[in-house]
Amino acid sequence: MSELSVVGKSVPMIDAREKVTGEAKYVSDVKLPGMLYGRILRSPLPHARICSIDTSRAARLPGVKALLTAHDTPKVKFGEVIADEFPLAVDKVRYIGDHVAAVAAVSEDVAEEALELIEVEYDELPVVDDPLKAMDSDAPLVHDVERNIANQMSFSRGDITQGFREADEIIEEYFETSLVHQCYLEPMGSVADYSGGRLNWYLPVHIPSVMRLTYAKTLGVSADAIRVLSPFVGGGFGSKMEYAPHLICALLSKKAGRPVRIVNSRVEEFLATMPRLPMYITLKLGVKRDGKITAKKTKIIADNGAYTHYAPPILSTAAMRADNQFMLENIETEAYLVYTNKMPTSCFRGFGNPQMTFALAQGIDIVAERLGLDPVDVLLRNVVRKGDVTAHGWYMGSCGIDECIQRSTEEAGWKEKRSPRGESVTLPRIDSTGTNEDKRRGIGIATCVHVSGNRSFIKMFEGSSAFIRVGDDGKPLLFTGEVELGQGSRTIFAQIVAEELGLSVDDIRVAMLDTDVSPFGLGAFASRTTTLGGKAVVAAARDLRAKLSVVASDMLEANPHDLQFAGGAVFVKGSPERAVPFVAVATRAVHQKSGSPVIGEGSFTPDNVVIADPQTKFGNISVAYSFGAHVVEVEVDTRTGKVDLINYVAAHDTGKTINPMAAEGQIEGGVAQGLGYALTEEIVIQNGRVLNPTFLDYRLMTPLDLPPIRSIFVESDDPVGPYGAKSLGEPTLIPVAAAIANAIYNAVGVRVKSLPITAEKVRDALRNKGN
Amino acid sequence: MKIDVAFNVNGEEYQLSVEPHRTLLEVLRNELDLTGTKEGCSEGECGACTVLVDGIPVNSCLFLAATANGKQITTIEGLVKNGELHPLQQAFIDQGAVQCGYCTPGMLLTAKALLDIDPAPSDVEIKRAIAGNVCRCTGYVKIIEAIKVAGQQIANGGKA
Amino acid sequence: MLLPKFELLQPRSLEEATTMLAESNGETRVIAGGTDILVQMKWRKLRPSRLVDIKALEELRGLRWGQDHLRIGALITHREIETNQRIWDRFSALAEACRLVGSFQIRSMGTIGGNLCNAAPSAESAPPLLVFDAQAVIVTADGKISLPLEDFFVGPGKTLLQPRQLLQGITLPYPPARTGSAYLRHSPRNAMDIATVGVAARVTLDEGGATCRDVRIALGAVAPTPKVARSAEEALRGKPLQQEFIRAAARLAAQEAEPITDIRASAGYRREIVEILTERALILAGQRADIAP
Repeated sequence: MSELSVVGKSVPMIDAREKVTGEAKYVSDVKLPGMLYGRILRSPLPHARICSIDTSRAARLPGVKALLTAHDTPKVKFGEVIADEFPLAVDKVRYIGDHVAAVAAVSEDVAEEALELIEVEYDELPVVDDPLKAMDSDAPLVHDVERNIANQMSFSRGDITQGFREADEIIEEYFETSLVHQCYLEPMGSVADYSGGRLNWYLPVHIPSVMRLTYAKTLGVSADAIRVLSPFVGGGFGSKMEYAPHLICALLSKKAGRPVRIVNSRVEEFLATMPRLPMYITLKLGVKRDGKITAKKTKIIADNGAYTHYAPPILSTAAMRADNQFMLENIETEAYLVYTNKMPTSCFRGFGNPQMTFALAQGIDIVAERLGLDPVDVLLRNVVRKGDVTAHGWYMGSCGIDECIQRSTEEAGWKEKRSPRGESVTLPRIDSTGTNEDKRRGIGIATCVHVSGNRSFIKMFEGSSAFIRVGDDGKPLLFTGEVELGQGSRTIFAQIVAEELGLSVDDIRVAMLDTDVSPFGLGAFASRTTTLGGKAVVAAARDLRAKLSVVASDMLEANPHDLQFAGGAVFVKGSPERAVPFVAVATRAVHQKSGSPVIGEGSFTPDNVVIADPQTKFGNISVAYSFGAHVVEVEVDTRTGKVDLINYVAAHDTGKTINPMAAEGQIEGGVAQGLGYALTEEIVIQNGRVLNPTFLDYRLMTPLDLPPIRSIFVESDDPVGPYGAKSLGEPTLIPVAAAIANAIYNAVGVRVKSLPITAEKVRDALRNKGN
Repeated sequence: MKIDVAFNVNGEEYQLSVEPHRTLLEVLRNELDLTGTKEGCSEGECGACTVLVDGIPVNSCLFLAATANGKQITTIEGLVKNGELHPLQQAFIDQGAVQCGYCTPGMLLTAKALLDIDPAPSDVEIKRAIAGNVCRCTGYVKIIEAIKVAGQQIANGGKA
Repeated sequence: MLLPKFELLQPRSLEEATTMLAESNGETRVIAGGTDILVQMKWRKLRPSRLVDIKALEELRGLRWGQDHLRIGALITHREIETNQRIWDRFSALAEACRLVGSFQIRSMGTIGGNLCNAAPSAESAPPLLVFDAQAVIVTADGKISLPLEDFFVGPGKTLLQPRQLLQGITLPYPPARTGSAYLRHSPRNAMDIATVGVAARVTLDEGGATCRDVRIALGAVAPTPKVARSAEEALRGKPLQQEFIRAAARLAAQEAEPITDIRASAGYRREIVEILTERALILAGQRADIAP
């Protein structure tokens, strides 16, 4: 590859200036003339029949402009995988926070007051909030579905019996993961403006183009009646997908004939959005004496909550994805998705992969100890290599997992720190967190694999498209169907355009998504944006370059193929003095066509991916796979059980790092989220009721809790990805909790197999061990 | 009953009549259209709504507008002076301390309050100062770095 | 989240304030920093019809270093204490506790008086104030009264204050020479948390530095109110500050705790933490006493 001038450089985010000045407009900043404020009446009960709803008093309140109950809403269930939810609950509520009625009023005060005037009579129903109990034959039914099983799957590879027969050691362990929230700082919301027979909709979401189609179906209108606009998005991490309040907002706007804004409060976020699926995992592993894994058997029960969003594919991800970092032969997996009277669960960075990795990476650590081996050697004995095809049919076009393991352990000082276990710190000093004699340090490792796009997720197509418009100002304006949520995709794309056209990033503008103008894009999920979106942007930029080359060749009296784009100019290769400014070429091109902009179009359609077989789940689902290895050092207070984080090293195979500063930002943020998952975060539910719907008791790690985090990039140069690049966003969180659990074990010899690993759980485990 | 208040926001005098239950956050955003200040939790736990009142960082979601009489208030819109970014703003851009941007205004004002006291805070002092500003994107590493860089610049004579 | 509607009164003098409180019909509450009460009002746990904003009252402001005691006005913020070097020097546990409260913003807004009147069992400032033998100064219609802070707390969220009364401030007698103090907190996070358990200890050593001439221990978040661990104090008073005596005192403190199980921790775990933190706080306070003038 020739020398790159912009790709591979740490370029500041192109929209950072708008964000540091407060100019960036998020959905809650959108204020349209005549706009009303919508609020939703939510169920106070986890499971109940709705006997009656009386809105008459609310309707008489001055300032109330529209009221909605299920009577007013289309009786079309929505849900991408299993359609089981109405915009407003019909007949029955299934969790505390379920949507019962809605109001739009001239102010938030009036809307709030109106909610208090709506009278709902409920008949309480028995509640089931534990997925294990929900599968009992006599459990209350959340929907009319036998044993509350929303979805189940089972598949096998090789011969599991033979696999365990060959094993020298067999372990079987049980793990539980927790209900955690994405906690994007900007609550979910939308502004809907029905006017001129059309719905203009500000939707800060991951998949606007796709949601437009889904919502059109639910609303009973054709897609062209809806225009979706992406404002700035205050973080997503997987969460901002199909959501009943979006539809409620649109319906309120239609009924009131005025724009309506609905934005969640933080409490509503904790009660009634879509946090991560908790999973209950039984893992059985067989290994040879040399560490080679001969068999893996898994049973997973996952908590779907009251309605199905993306839990089925998340469960299948948990069921198989982590396997693909190893060359496994004999696998058997069964998995169940179970309804409960809790908020629906869905996508969160890692998509089922962190849950299973929490189990599997601890499994590796456990077998390593049994065999008297270093877990690093066990990992290296089993990991995939470039060119391998895994048991699930995944083809590894590039693979740097071994290098991730080697470099992260080296950087963290694995060899010096790993043994002996429980080496105490010698300084007899006391500080505000305890005497050092009470503390033990340990180090742990966990690895992961993830996709760069997932052909099986949204089945219309894989791939992406983009176009670049250059008008007479000579500045390229990129339109893509992919979405910026703060992860930096617009900057990455601008770098690519700049690279291909020999411009600087400052010359490139990237449009916010507008479905009236932008290409149809699948959106931000499955860590696909840089890889697939980036490929499309490369193609669009090259198309534009080819078109401009024709014009420039006239101006320079040279063959178009001999032209080079660099430094803001177009010149003849080898004769930089024969140059014209890029802007002059663009302007000439526009004038030649009487003002028509020059448009470079590009799309990328991968030819090496398939939709996995729905039964067997077999098939190469992604264009490229990325890898990571995390090594963490912890210090455990042996008396209180409190875990302090000493040092963190995260190595990721990015293929090619397009923007190291942005990529480090992904790693640092993903690791911090993972550490919260590991140690402090959990939505606690008792009898269907969330006990901690605030940031006070839903504990995000603060800067005073986080360790130094060092990033290492392994560049395995993927044959498909743009400039060799693969995904990074999700992998950064996946191995964290397991690495922590393994480090704690190394420090004090106890293993906490349920998340979060609280001080109290560690203390209990130490006591059970006899400390 | 509404209460008359007069206060200064970013150098401009405002005279308003506000209901007692209106928070400063609501008044800034809804009445003065200064939407740079964000609401993240509404109960003083996330810091997105941080503004400076007489130089002191406060959660504007827990500050009654009716009690702001005579106060000097600085919001994110007031950080740019004569078209030039505050050194903190520039450092946040340059160091990659901004991702989704929703925490950024509040974070910047907290950081400003810190650097106004001491342009050379230690890492721990920075962490302690920004602990009440939730950032879910960055893991804080680059934010801490940016605050250090801005502090150095201010100490070396950059504008504060 | 929106606040419910209420009437706001802004007295200019203490007299005006007490009159307003005396005249109140319907529920009247006092607001200072607002960081507790406004949150409770947003959650509709409190719906006072009137709020009396006391921030303008001069009489409730300021730190005054008297001949034999420090007076802390009720309106003094946690931040003002946290940043005061003289408080660090003389009342380290108090400064330490105030630095652990909430965030930079909350510490800048929230007042000591508010922290005490809110009367959360976990109030960070309470255990250190108890070990320094703080007196609460209360303004009543008939003048001022002063009473031990320990008696001020009645139950979770409840104090001795009558509807017409105001907490004016706190007085702290200067500790004797060779005194050290410490406040330790157990919480899942190192910031933005409230105490799962908080322990303050004050140790005054004798001239030789070997014996514990006086000792005070107070516990937070493990009883309906912040609580003095009296039997633990008695066990250690006059004894050498050595591990066996410290451990014995810590065990007694754990026995004196009356913890509950809630979302933050189990009662049993809290009791264990009381023992561990008491031991550590005593050691730390002893070390500080040893180097104190």
